Amino acid sequence: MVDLRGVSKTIMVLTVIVIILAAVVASVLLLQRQGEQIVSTTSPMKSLTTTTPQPTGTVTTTVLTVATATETSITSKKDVLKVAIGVDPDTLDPHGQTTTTVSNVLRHVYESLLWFDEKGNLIPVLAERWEVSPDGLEYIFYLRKNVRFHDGSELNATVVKANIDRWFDPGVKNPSRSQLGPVKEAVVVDPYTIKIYLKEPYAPFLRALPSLLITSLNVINKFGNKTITEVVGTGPYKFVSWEKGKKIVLERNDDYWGQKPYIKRIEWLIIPEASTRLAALLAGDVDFAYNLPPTDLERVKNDPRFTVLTPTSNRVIFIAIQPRGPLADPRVRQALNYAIDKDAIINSVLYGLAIKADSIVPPHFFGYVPMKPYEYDPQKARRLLEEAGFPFDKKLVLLHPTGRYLQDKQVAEAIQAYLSKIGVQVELKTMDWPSFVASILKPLDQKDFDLLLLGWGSTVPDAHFVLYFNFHSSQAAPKGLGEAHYNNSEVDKLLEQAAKETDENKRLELYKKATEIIWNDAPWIFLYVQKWFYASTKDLKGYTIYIDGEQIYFNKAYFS
Amino acid sequence: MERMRILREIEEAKRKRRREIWETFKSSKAAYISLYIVGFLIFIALFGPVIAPYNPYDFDLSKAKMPPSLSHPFGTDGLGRDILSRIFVGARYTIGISLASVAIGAFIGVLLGLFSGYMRGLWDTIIQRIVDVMLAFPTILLAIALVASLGRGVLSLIIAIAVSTFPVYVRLTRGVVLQIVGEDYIAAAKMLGRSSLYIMFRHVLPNSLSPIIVQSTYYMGSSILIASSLGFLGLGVPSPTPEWGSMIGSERIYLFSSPHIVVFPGLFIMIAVLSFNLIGDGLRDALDPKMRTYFRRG
Repeated sequence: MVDLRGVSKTIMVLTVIVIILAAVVASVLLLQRQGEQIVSTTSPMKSLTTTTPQPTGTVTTTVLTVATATETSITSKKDVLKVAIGVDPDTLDPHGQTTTTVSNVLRHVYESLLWFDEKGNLIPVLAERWEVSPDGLEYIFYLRKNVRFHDGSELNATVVKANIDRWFDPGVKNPSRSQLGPVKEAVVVDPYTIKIYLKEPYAPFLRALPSLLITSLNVINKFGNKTITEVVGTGPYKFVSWEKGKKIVLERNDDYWGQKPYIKRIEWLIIPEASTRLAALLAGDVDFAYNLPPTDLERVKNDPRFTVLTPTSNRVIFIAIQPRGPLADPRVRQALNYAIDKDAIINSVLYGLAIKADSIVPPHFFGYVPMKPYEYDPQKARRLLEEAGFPFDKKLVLLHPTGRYLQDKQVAEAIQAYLSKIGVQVELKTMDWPSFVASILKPLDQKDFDLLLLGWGSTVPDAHFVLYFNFHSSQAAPKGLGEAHYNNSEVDKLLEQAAKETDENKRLELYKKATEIIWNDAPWIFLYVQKWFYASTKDLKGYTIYIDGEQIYFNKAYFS
Repeated sequence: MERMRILREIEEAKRKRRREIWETFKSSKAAYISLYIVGFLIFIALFGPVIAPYNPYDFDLSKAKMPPSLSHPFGTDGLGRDILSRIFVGARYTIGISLASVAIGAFIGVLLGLFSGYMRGLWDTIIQRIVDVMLAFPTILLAIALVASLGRGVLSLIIAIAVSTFPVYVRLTRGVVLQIVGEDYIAAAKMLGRSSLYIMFRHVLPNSLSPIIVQSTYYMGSSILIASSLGFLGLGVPSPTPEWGSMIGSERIYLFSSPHIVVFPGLFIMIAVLSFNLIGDGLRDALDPKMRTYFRRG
């Protein structure tokens, strides 16, 4: 028996011991590092607010210019900028954009008639100025002269009309078509003047217009209603190449009509994994990285080589309460709102990467009306539930996606824990995004869940795109995306009026009334507005964060 | 008189054999130590809620992701729950699931194997072809498919693991039974006119038990692994139940920022699986060293 077998067993046991020891040592080392991190930043929230000033007031500063470089004396130390993004373009078609990051890249090449400035005000780009008729049915745009496309052709009213016609061409696959609203037709008045007629007043029209990217007439004639694959715009950068799944390369347009960029070439590297983007940034392979893993926020922030950006996004995260059975009672829905400590969730689960919802829409939207948040109060919640005769033996099902929103699974678990504290039992139902979408687009009586963790992001920063599409009774699922199945004729009327009202003050007043009603009715558990987590190297300066908080523009960026 | 003497001798031989088995088992230090570890784990599984310092469901976000300290020896998880308490309470889920699934899997597998090996013929062919198909399926894949169709929960987890592991017992038992059926004492029993059922359960089964015991011990370890893998994939016991695999799965995003959340449940899974495997090795050597090639560690 004392042969090889015995020896190998000893070796085996030794190996096992070594493995265990190694595991323990490794974890202890990692833990120590973790301990240091926690010691070095006592309050993550406080340090966050210093990097991103919190917006206050109604329409607020949403574009942060990291460093304003207006002097022409600036020269960039490096000619090539490398940016890590997470998604590969699905389409390059200017009239078929679906993904914000993709249009972010393309908007360095394409331009639109109007644009937003840092304060969220509309500013002229390809249109020098514009006029709106008092009845809100006619819009006149006076185009900028001497603007040339990258293919040499000139921008004029015919080109813009062709673009608008193509936007509304049912043969073109354009998921955002309805954003521009009830356009009747576009008419060329003279070579540099175009008039757009609406079928009925549509208040968000101007704020939606930046979605319309303008390409040249040659391209439109060449592709017709087929998907455009040649990227020709008027913007500060020219399109060079797209290697599918790898990178997109843009080069400076030296004939740009406006202020010319400092950096010659931008390479957008497509890196789907957040942790790989972080690794690329840490290794110095890229100068800017989009959408990094929130668990590493502290680490990047403490690294002196990087600037961390945490802009507020246009995405509100909420729980749509399915209004049936006990949940049809507004007192129960209010109770659920009082039961959850949003501040604690933001600080601990989201690493501070969110702001507590104090309205239905994000603070930089038109129509934002600050409300009194439902403060965490479990006693009050419990009392409201008892008043409403809530059946505590009933188990509520909370459906949530995983990997879609920031820490979505963890947030769902925290909510489950908070609700169990007031005696409401919750069962979690986790789904990947495609099956999630399939199971939520159903009529109320066919849904097999009671609570739904959902996010709503609107490209156009206007309350219409949040309130109307979630709370107008015509938009209830499965016809629309109104997952709360909200039905209130007064709100319906207010939202319809607000969509048509061209007087901004009156419109704001309408949204104020609607928000107050909805807020008190609590069809949602109002949670928070997500923030993004981006980072750049310290020497990269001058880039701007677009009003939606998600897109970054490098046309004035430079390396110092 | 003669009969009494023979019976006594048989009794004596049995006792001697048992002592031998125990001595051989004890001579393997690793297996012996593992026995204590498993004993300890079973103790935790039984008394987890009593000895846990905190309520494993009590959360406090202000204490989330705290590294190990005196008040929380294993730290706290993403929701600020005490990890030590969760591991203690979770033991009964993890170990209970693997125990139950092994029991069910072994029961079905042994019955089918016994029947198949003893009866031979058409039934044997049918059972063996079914087993072939099931063995060709990766265990974890089959388990995933089963959980997906049964829905999440402790019971469906047990069924999924039992169903996806029983074919191995069928194969194993059949192989041993085929050997035993050729032995003289079976022929003698047949000649005495004993019924097939009697011979199967009275003579064949007890004599084929040792490899089954060894296999079951190995499978205790692998069931823990399968249960944990399913938990990790989000198909295990639904949150907030602190099953070890689910503890890792739902908190795996903290692997780099707060490793203790994942490392401690992982360590417990590793220790449990390792101990069961080492006990399996010890039992194998003690019970029947020749049978080595039969076993699959899964």
